[in-house]
Amino acid sequence: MKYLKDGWLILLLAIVFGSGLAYINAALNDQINANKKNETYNQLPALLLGAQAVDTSKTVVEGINVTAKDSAGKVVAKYRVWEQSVKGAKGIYTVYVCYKEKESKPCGFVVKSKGNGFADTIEALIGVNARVEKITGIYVLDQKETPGLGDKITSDWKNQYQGKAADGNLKVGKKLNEEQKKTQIDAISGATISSDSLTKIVNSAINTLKTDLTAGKIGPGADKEAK
Amino acid sequence: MASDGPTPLERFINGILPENPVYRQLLGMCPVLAVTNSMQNAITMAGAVMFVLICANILISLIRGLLKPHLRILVFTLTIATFVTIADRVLAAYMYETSKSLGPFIPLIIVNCLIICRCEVCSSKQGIVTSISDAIGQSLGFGIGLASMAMVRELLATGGLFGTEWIWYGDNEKYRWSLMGLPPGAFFTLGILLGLVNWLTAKKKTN
Repeated sequence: MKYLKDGWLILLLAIVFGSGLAYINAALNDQINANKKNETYNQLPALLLGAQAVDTSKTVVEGINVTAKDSAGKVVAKYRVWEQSVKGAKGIYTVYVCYKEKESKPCGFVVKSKGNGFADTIEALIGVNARVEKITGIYVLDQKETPGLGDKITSDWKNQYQGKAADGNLKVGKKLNEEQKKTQIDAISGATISSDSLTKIVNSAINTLKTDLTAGKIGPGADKEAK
Repeated sequence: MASDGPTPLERFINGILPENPVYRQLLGMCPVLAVTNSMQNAITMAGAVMFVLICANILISLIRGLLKPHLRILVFTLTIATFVTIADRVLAAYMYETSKSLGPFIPLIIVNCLIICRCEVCSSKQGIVTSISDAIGQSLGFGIGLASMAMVRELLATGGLFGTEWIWYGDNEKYRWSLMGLPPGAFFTLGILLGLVNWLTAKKKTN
């Protein structure tokens, strides 16, 4: 009884606070999850069409439908997105299969992939075209690379991945000439490891995607066929 | 009980400079060092601390008659943790980008000793008006501390404020002093600003 006499205030507060927090969590959870989802979905058009063609801040996401607009506000493309978790050789990853409006064949794939960077894990989205021949875009979702050096992987530097062959064998070089820049990635000076890490993530994502596409693991209905 | 101690106005003014949490009391050094790499982060952090401090001070002040001396810290922590969680969720829902860049430092407000200190020193002893003005004063003082650190660090590290670049640096990256955006820069800036504030106040006293 002595404990109850001393501690009733704490018990009461714990119950009141606990239920208050449960309410807040229930009220905001949808919004928080939508933020996480939209962060990815917003980038999809830019990853398929190239960063220059689309103004990411004007992208509209409604459920699985993504409408891309350019900087003038004109609609560039409309996509349907099929999100799928795929069990690949190196673990589960997420792939976004994108369809143009009314078409039933995919117009591109975006893979969410993780790997070690210089400081911490780098999480990136890699866009490739429907035949997985060409990289159409890169976006870094999460990174903790050195500010001012390694964090340039989030800047326009990443646009050089765009248009490179998606053979899963992309190489990083230093001080490349114009001819070499067409097939290789020019490392950020002072951040070779960050450049290397991102390229490794891109290569492994493409290789995994190719293997799993050939195995028929990706796409609507792929789960059923596998059974 | 409520008649003792400083008045609401004194509490408010004390928080801003004479008892500034950053430069005078040296409380809550973890966010001061960790999130002052950009103005946006510093201001969001100051706002979150203000929300938590005001709410916690109000609640503790209301229940101060019921507090048992040996269980008071437990009640403080419980209250603070609740409001911090609310702040964290609200930021994640409505300011997703900033909440991502602040990372674990919003949840870490729970262990920010500034808030426990104000509960202990002020709101568990004084009335609700004094507690609120104390909370506002202290969190403004904390905000000024964070903003002054962030201003120096972001200007030197990126050449701009609030994520923009200011004209004189342009794209010329050789003027950037990236170190100031990194942990060592936080310690340098804190030391120099702390010394500066001490020097200025010491000079005032001798005059």
